[in-house]
Amino acid sequence: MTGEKPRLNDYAVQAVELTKKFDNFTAVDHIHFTIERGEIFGFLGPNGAGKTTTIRMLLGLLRPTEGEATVLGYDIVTQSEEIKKRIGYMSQRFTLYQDLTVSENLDFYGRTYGVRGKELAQRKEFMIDMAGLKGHEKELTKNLAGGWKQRLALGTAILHEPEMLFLDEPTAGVDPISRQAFWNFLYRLAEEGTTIFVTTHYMDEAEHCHNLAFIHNGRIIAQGTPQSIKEKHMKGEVLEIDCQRADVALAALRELSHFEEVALYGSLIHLVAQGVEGYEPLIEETLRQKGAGLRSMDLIAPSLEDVFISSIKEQSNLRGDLP
Amino acid sequence: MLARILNLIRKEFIQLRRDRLLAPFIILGPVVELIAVAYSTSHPIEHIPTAIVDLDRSQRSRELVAAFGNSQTFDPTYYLYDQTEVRTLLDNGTSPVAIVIPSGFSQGLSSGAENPQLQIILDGSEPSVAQTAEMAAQGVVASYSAQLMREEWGVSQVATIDSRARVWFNEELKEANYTVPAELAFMLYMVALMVASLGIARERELGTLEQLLVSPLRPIELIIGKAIPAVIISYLDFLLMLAITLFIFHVPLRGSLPLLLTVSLFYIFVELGWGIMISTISNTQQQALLLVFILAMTEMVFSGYAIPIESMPRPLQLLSNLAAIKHFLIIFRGILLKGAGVGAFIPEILALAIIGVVVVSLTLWVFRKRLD
Repeated sequence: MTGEKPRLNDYAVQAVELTKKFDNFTAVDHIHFTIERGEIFGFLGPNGAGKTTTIRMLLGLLRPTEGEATVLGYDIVTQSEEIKKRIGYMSQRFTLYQDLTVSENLDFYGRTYGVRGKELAQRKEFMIDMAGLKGHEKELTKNLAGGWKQRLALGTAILHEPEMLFLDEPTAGVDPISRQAFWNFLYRLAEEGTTIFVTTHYMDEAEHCHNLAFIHNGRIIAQGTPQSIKEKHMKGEVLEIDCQRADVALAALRELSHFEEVALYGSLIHLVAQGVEGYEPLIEETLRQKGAGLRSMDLIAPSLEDVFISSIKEQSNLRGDLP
Repeated sequence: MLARILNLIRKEFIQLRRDRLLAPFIILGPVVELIAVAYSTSHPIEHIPTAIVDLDRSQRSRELVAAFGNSQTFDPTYYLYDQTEVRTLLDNGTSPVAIVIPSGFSQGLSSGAENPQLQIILDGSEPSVAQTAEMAAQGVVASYSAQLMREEWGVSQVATIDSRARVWFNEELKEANYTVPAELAFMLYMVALMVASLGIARERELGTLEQLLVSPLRPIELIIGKAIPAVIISYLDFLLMLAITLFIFHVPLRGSLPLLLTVSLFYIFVELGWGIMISTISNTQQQALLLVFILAMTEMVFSGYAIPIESMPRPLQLLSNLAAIKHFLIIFRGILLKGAGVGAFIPEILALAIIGVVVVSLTLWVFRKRLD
C-alpha cells in the first residue's frame, strides 16, 4: 500500500479547462466546475453532450487532452490510485456479475476495496436490507428483477463507504416509484456526508440536486443551483399553450418571431418571452386564424427543461450558430 | 495486492464452475480429440483390399498371389480378368492397390531370357497407403525371388549386400509416437489460449471491466488474477493428456519427468501471454475466439506437425522460430523419445523465454494503451 498523500485542495471535484479530444472531435471542451463536499451535483445534458466522457476522465479511465482536475483533492492523472480507493461508481450499464449470487457479488466487490471479515458481513447485511433482497442472498444475480438489480448495483458501489459516489444515468429505464425511492436514498447518503456526482437527462430529477451544470456539445452552458440557473438563464416567462393542432400552432407561433423560444413539450407548446402576458391577444388571434383549436393558455413556472432549451439557444446565438 | 489477486482468482473459479459449457469443453474436448487422433494413428496400415489381375494363370503366378496374401499388408479381395476394370475399383476407392501379372510371366521366369515384369498400380491420392503398399510389395517380391532361386536353381548361398536402415528413437516407426505428442502440444495450446483470451474480453463485453478499472485493482493484478486460473486449468489438462499418452498409447518416456513437467509449465506461460494479449485487444468474446483460431492455425503451420519445416522456403523457416509450439515440440519429443537432457534444448528454451518476455511486455503495453 502507498502511504497517505497530501490532498491538493478541499473540493470534492475541481475541474480547470478540462478537455478531451478524439481525433478531430472535441467531446469535452475546456470545462470549469467545482463541487463542494457533501453536495449532490447534477451533470445534465442530452446524449452525446460529453457527460460520460467527463465522468470517465474524473475516474481515471480516460486521460484528458488538456486541462486538469482533482477528485477529493487528488490529481486525476497522477494520483488516480488514491482516488480509486475513495470513490464508488455505478455506470450506465449493469456491471454486476450475472453468474454470481447476490452475496458473492457483494463479497467480491467488498474485498476488492479491502473490506473483509466482520466489517464485510455487517455492511453486506445492511446493503441486502437496503435493497430489499433479504432471503435472496443465494440467488443468481441474473434472476433478479430490474429494480432489485439496480439497488444491488448501488449497494455494491457504496459497500466500502466511499467519500464520493459517481452515478452515470442511474435511473435510466427504472420505473417512477423506484426512481423516487432511489433519490430518497441519495439524500440520506448526502446528509451523511457523501458527495454525489450524478448525470441524468431526466430534467425533473435535476430539481433534486443541490447544484447543476448543463453541458451541451462539450461545453458547460449554465451552472449553479436550480433556482439561480432559472433566474439567470430564463429570458422572460413561460406560457403553456394547449391546442388541438400543436404542429400548426408551433409553425404559426414561430413565424411571429416575437418570442425568445417556442418549443414542443409532448402535446403542449411552451412559449418564452419577456412580458409574455401582453402577447396573449396576439397569440389567440393567430391560432384562431390558422385553425389550431386553442384549448387553454397558462402562465407557468419555468421548468429546468425550459431553462435548458433557453440556454442552448443563448449559447448558439452567442456563437452565431443556427437556432 | 495479494489479497486482491486471490479474491479475483476465487471469483474466476466460481464462474468457471457455474459455466456449464466451458468447463466440459476445456477439459473433455482436448482429451477426446487426443484420443481420437492417437487411436486412429496408432494402428499400422494393414489388410489393404487388393485387386489381382492374373493374366498368366500359371502355378507361379498363383504362388505369387498367395505370397501377397500371406503378408499382413495385402488382402487379395478382387480377382479381375481384365486390366480395364482396375480403373473402376481405384476410382471409387474400393481398392487402392492393384497387382497385374502379365501373360508370359512364368515363361519369362523359367527361360531367364528377360526379367519378367510385374505391375503394381497404386492410388496416389492416399499417399500414406500407397507408400506402405509400395514398400510391402517390394518386400513380398524380394522374398519370393529368393524363394525361387533356392527352388529353381538350388542356390542357397548368394552373397548380397545386406542394407538395413535402423530407425532410432522410434524403432517401429510407430506413427502414434509422432502424432500424439504433437496433438497434445496443440490441444494444450488451444486450451491455454482460449481460457486466457476469453478472460478479459468477457469482462469487457459485459461492462464489468470498467467497474474493475475504477476499483483499487491494478492492471497488473488483473492480468495475474486472470492468468493463474488459466495456468491451473491448462496444467491439469496437460497432466491428464500426458497420462493418456504414456499409459494408454504407450508413447515411451525416456527422459526426465521433472524436466518435462517444468518445461511444459513454462510453455503454458508463454501461450497464456498470447491469450491475454488477444484478450486485451478484443472487444467481445467472439472477436477473441476468432483471433485464437487465426493465431492457432498460423502456429499449427509453423509447428512442423502438419508440414515439415525443412520443406519450407528459407524466410518461412526463419519465421517459424516465432512459434512457441515449434520449440516446445522439439523439447517434448526429445524428452519423450530420445531421452535427451536439458543440455540438448538450450536454444529452444532460450527461444521460449524470449517469446514469453516479448509477448508479456507487449501485452502490458497494449493494456495501458487501450485505456486511452
